[in-house]
Amino acid sequence: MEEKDLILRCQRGDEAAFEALIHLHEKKVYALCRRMCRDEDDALEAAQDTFLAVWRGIGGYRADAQFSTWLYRLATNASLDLLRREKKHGGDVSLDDEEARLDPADPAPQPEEAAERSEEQRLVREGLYALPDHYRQVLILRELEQLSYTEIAAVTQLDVGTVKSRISRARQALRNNLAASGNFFDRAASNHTERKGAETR
Amino acid sequence: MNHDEYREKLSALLDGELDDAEQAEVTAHLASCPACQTYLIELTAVHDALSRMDTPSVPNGFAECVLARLHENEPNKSIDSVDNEENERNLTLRRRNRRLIASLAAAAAVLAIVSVPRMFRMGGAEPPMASSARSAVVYGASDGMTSMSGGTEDAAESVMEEAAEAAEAETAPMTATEAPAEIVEYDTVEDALDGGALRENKTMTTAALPEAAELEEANEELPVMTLGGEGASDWLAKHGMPLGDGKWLVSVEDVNALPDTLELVAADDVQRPTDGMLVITLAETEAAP
Repeated sequence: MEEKDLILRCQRGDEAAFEALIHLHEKKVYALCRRMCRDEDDALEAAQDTFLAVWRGIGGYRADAQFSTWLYRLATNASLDLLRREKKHGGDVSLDDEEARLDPADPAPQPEEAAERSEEQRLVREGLYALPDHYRQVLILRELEQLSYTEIAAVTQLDVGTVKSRISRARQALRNNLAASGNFFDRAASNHTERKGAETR
Repeated sequence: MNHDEYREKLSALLDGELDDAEQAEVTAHLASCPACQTYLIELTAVHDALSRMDTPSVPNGFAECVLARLHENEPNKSIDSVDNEENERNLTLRRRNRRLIASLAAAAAVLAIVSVPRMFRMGGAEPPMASSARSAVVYGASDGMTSMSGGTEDAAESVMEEAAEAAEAETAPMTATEAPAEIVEYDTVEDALDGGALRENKTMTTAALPEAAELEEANEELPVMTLGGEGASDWLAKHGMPLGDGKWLVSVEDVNALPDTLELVAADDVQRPTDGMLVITLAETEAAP
């Protein structure tokens, strides 16, 4: 069923259509919230909040507008709101299961490449979560959702110049985080050298 | 162009967001600048690592959970946008009220009612019907109070019940405040705060005790700012109401009269409010790296 159709039906109170709309977009929304919020439960709550906001606001939604822009906005706002609330009452930062599995103290041996890859992932994830929320927001929209600066501007309701400079600062901050973690860029340098070497052969 | 400006261009280059002229300029610069070359390599490495991040999968039953919450919150199922706003506001305020009370309960010293110097009481007409069953909440300042150790939710709730009873019976002893002639119960905490309860040393009383755990959402829409400078913690102790976890609720009026030695800082997106309340934390002594 076409998305526009579903939206129109939602506007008439059709919950089955709403459920279908959720299924259409839940993966993307959850992924976004998961990358915004460190905690799995928080991400789940933010993702649910997003769809509840869709239902509540769909009466005023113009069907000719870009739905995904609105959806991304609701998702990042829900995540930002939740993160702000969490900070206000101390924020129990509980490591989620994923983090626990990638704990370097894990005794289970992994093949070297996989271990390197999971270490890289751990560092990048930690670095991402360490960013200020509004930096993380634009970086996620750019890097993980592949949105253009113009699209990000529409989602965040900032102007393109601000989006551009915020992404740059976010990248710089993440780069600094990773540089401080010790070995991230050593890996990067050796990969780069390998690639260069491969190219010249 | 200095290297800071180039960094932004390199970031945009990575995203393919430079026009032809800019791209030519940056590429020409790159050819002769090792520092920028390194920076671009590093940005590319970060970009590659981000692109390799796993996509987390949605838990089963996600849609069902959303629908369940929908039915829990909006029994009338109306999606008319006006009704939605109303429902959303009620929901937000209900949760906010519960959160506010929970955070007060958690701040152990806050809720001992008996000998509180700054109790807030409001005058007014007969209480309006509160369909959400959440009225306003009891506040107290921390100085000079009998403190509660532990601050468990149960203990706090029972103290608040006493406070509610005492306030209703109008026997709560108050010092240093005038009791206005009439009593008003505000529908929600937000209304009470907007009604200037704290500024004017008024009291709010509970008609019902919501779940403590949701209290903290009461402050969810208040802006948060950080106070730094010598004497900041003394100033907060004097002018703010402790919420626990190093946070104080402060009125904008007090903030506007901040002494010169103190400085209020906010994140980029935080607007300093022109009236009402805000949440203030103390500046940390060390800046984050």
